[in-house]
Amino acid sequence: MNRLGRVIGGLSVMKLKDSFVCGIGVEWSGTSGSALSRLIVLLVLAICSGVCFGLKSVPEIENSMYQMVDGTACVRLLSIQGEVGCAGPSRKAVHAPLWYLSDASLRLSRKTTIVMPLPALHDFLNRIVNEPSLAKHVAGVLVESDVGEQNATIFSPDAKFPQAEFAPYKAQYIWNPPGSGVLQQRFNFPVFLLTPESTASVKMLIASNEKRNYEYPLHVAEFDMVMQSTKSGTHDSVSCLKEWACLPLGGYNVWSALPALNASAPTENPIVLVMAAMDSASLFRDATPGADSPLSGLIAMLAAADALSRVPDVDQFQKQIIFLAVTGEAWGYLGSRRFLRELASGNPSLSGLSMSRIHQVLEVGSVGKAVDAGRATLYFHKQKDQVSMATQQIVEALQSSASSLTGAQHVGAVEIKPASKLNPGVPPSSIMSFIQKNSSTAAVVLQEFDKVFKNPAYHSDLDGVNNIDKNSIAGTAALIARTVYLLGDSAANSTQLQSIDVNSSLVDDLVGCLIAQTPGMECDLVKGLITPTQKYANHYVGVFLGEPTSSPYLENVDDTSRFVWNFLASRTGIIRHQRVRDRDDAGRRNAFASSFEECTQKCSNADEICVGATGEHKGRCMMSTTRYLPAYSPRLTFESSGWKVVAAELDDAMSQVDPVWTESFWKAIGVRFYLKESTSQDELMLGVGTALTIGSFFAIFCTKAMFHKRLKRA
Amino acid sequence: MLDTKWETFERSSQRDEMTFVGGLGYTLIALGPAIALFFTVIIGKPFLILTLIVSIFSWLISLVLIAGVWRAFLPSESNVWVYIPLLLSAVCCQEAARRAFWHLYLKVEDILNKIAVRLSKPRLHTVDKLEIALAFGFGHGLAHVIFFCLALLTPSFGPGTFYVPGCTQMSFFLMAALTGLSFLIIHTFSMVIAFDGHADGNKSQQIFAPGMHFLATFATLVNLAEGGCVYGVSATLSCAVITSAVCWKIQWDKAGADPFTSSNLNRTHH
Repeated sequence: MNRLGRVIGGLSVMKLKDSFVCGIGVEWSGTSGSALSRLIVLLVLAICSGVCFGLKSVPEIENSMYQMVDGTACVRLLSIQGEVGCAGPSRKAVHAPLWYLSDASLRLSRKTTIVMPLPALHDFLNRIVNEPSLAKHVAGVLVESDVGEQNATIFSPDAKFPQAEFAPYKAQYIWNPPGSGVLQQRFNFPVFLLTPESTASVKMLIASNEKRNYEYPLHVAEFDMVMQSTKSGTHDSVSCLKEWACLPLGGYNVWSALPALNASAPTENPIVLVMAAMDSASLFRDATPGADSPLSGLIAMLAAADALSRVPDVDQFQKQIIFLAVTGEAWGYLGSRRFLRELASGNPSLSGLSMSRIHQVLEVGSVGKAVDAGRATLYFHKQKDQVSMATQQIVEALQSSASSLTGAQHVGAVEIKPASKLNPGVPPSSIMSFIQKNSSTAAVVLQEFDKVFKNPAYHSDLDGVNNIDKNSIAGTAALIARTVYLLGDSAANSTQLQSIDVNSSLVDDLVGCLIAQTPGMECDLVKGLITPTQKYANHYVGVFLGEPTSSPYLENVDDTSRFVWNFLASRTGIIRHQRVRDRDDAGRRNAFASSFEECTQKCSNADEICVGATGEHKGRCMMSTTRYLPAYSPRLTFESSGWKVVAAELDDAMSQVDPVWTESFWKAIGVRFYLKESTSQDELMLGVGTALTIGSFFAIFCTKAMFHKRLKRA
Repeated sequence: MLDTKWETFERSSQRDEMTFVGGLGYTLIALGPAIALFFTVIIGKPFLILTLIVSIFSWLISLVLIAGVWRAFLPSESNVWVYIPLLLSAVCCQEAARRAFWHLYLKVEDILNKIAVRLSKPRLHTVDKLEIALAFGFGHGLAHVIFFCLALLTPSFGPGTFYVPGCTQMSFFLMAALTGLSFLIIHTFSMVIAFDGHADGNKSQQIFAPGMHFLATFATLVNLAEGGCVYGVSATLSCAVITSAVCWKIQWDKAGADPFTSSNLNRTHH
């Protein structure tokens, strides 16, 4: 009998499986009509008449229960001293009811997800820092994106003097008046910037919560933002690198020589170094447009390189022009410091350059807002009391080219002025690294501002395409192109000077590609040179992937660096006409006469590089000296066991203050909304279910007993 | 910077993570009485287990057949009135199946009685018949609950809940569990009533089962109205209570009236 029972038990299990297969086989065929009304119908159908729809509709129910939220998060960064940024408090996802921050005098009694408009964020976060009692009730912060107010908002999460510790002077100066400093604070809850679509849906959910007067069931947000450094309990760069819980911030600098260096016949011409930064910062990792600071400067430099490459006798210049795009500048001037470090140590990827030959340095800073009432005014900042000949030359070249631009056709006149003498020194910029290395370096940085930043959204997600003026960038580009011509060619003549002009549609394209969200990286200019991995560019430096090398795997190089490399190479390079092959094939068609070698990665000639090879089309081999240079903290070394922090160098002031920023690993950053029953309601249901079960046992026993009794009596 | 207050706070919020509590509750609401019935009545007798499985299997096939035919006619517009003929036809099909079950049962009874005679054992008597009818009905109810209601309840084991827009008073899962429970009870006991009616030639008992099935089915349509779920679910639950009360009354009267059952009582409850 027992065996029979077991066999029957087995049968029932098998049958259960069979019937599930049957259930899945029957599909819901209705396509129109709302999902929810279909669900009601499903319930009626499934339970009343037992149609096999129940199983199929489960994913439908789950889709309507959980709403995934799009946006970008603030992540946990670590330095030698400790942590900044945001992370979930524990190893698990956290959830809490959605609540709108309506007034600043907020009191919380239970864990809450606070939704707020972007302008309120900094005040709130600064209050959190001072009020731990408030902080412990905050499960997470969702920040609304409000596109309409972008122009008016003054919003900068960076410090009032960004990266003051790296400055070659000591001063309590305010460069960035709106700076709130929250970028350097640590928060033990997730902060998430919503997309406009998610903002709309969160508003509906909050309205529903308010209607319910915050009584369960409530709409909650669940944050899955577990940082590896929290998991491993490592709270600074040294220990998290040891535990493999983080990676250092960094990327790849790009430098290019105009004209290309000749490896077989090296010259000792003095160098004019034109540089710009490629990376920005923001509280939200993936919303770092950096339009004005520093992309406007980078675009101006690229457009100037394009203009200069068209000067016919550029290979006759007495000075060597070098364009340098540095990255990691927002996180400890990584790119410029690494460039100087490798230059001193004779890194092969910098062969052909040397420290002693760098005669003049011209940095293009934030130049996207130079136009005021139709007039563009740029300020040159140099080190205080720097009066060397070389510096004077740069200033004079800037002034001459500014006056030569007065009648330029494509761009408006650009006025150039010296920055205020009351400034403590150069504003936060990459030339700080050069000045720290050698205080007599002739270095000048061009900026749109005089005493304080003109950019109201410095290092914030609002520093977008609306924050800049294309004419301002085009004017600066023309100014730089002419200045570099004057500096480079001692035999410069005014006819040639007047002919140097910037292609303003190129500036438009670069702004559209590198800053705007449409067309973004999908634009023709970018797609003609690289295969972009992002839809639109994000200029957060990112973590350094792989081993640092001057010929990196291109998968490890971010879109901006790869684009700048290919762009500079295509402008500074020349296609070598293949006359030799033409002569060999004399009898055949003459089409080969001026053709170029097509390539996917490498070129047959060692002096040539493969430019513009993408997944869709092959590139061209060009004679160009354009190279990558890894940019990561000079206090880091890469060994077989991974990254290691080394001691600061005593003679290097910047090395001693270097925070050595790292970013924690994270598996997934996810936020979802769902309706949650209170814990007591769930427990009540369990209680009711248990009572019903026990009650049924009792009732059946009683019934049986009563029937027995009655049957006996009968 | 890191303080220990966070750690203690985290521990206090661990209670929230027990997301399966609600799901377990809903499942017990839907299946609790079924579990009790299985472990007190069915499990002791292999023959009842076999009957139950045959019943579940047969009902399932009938349901799949109905569903297969319906797929072709399923309207894309979710208008309540369109579903009335569909529900009507489905209930009619099932009631026809119930009739077929009765004839199947008669055959089984006949065979069992012949076996009993050959083995010199007493023939099936009232309590045995009652239990077989109960197992048949229980199979019908379980076929509904396990395969439809339970599938709908699986998302309730997650952290979220779900409310149908027209019903703010109770969650979709509670609605499903209570409706599932009601139909389990209705199907279980109306089978007993129907078989009894067929055996005794009692017309009113014969039409009780399809009548109650229709009534309960159309009571669920009230759920579709704005705020109607409370009334719909209450009506369905009332149908369940009425069915079990009617079943009790019939069997109670029968137990009191049957003078031949007392001698065989011990055999049926070994």
